[in-house]
Amino acid sequence: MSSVLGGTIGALTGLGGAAIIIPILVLLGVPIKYAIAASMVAIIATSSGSASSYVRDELSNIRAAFYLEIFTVIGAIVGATITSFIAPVYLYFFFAFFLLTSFIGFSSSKHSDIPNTEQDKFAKWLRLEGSYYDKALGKEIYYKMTKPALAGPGMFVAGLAAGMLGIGAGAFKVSIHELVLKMPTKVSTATSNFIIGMTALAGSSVYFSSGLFFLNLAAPLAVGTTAGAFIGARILRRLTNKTSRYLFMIVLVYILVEMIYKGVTSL
Amino acid sequence: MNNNQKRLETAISNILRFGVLISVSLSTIGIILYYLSNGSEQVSLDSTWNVNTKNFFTFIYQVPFSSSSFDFILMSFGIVILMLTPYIRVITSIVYFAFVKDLKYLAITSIVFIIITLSLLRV
Repeated sequence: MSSVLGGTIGALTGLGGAAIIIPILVLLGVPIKYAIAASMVAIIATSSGSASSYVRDELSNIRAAFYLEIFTVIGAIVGATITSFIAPVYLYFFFAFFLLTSFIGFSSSKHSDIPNTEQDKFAKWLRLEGSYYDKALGKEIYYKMTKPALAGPGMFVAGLAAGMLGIGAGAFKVSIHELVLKMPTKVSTATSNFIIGMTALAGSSVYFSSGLFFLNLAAPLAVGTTAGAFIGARILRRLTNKTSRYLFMIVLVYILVEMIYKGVTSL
Repeated sequence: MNNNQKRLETAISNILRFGVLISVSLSTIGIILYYLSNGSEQVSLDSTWNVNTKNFFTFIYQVPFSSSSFDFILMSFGIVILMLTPYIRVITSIVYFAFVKDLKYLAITSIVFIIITLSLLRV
């Protein structure tokens, strides 16, 4: 079972580890709640690890991150608490549902490259704006964000999902960043990463005292995901865009089916 | 001020990366020891590995003193350090906002910090 370590390596092909690891663990016979609790901690590894990439740190908007984090953290704590109490069977379905939404989100990603320059009053008060140097374009880009009041509750939901399912919910957060706040893509990913770390910490804290946490599950998971992220990034460079999308779809569908199956058979 | 900010950011990310590295290394050694002493890959989800302390900080106290095997201790510290990385990150940001006297964000960051700390302490 701790060859899950090896499994997690394969997991990091861009979906975001936890969403894949948990199903794998479940497949191997681990009760879903334990899988969620352990994975929550492992996510911290991926988050802190990638946040250390210097370029990214320049990119993440710390102010936005903390503002959003207020909502996300509460969501995560609530979510994790819910998970500790409800029957596992619900979790299978929630998970499947979540995957479905990611699926939809992924297939219809559209974002403009023109930085947003409008801001509503609340955003101005929060000073949600920033700049970064875009290497690809070779110049400094200034941007502003807007509609933070709308983004707040959105992040709460993201936090909820993250806390309940033991995942980073990165894709969901990124879409909020881009669609609601109108963050540029790179900033969005970087900021999301930062947020995930703190959220995962909050979620873990709940699981810690819930009795659902097993050290010998969490530790290999953390190690494995870190290794996996590393290797995954290497591989990703070699794949064509088409291949990785294809791969992504296949994995997603497989997991979806598996989760539903598990849910149904536990009824 | 922007230059200071950059240096702070670099410092933070180095701490984070370093933290993750240490954490993972400790855990890996722990895992290897476990593997050696147990002989099989099987992960047994029994109570010896279950963490069930009142809160996170209690856990940190207890671990070095409880019976447990060395591999357990290593893995525990590995995970603890891992969990501390974002925590320290938040604290650093609080200090930063205090330093640049950004009251709004000092407040916001502190709110986040308090929520997380409360969660680590209670339940």
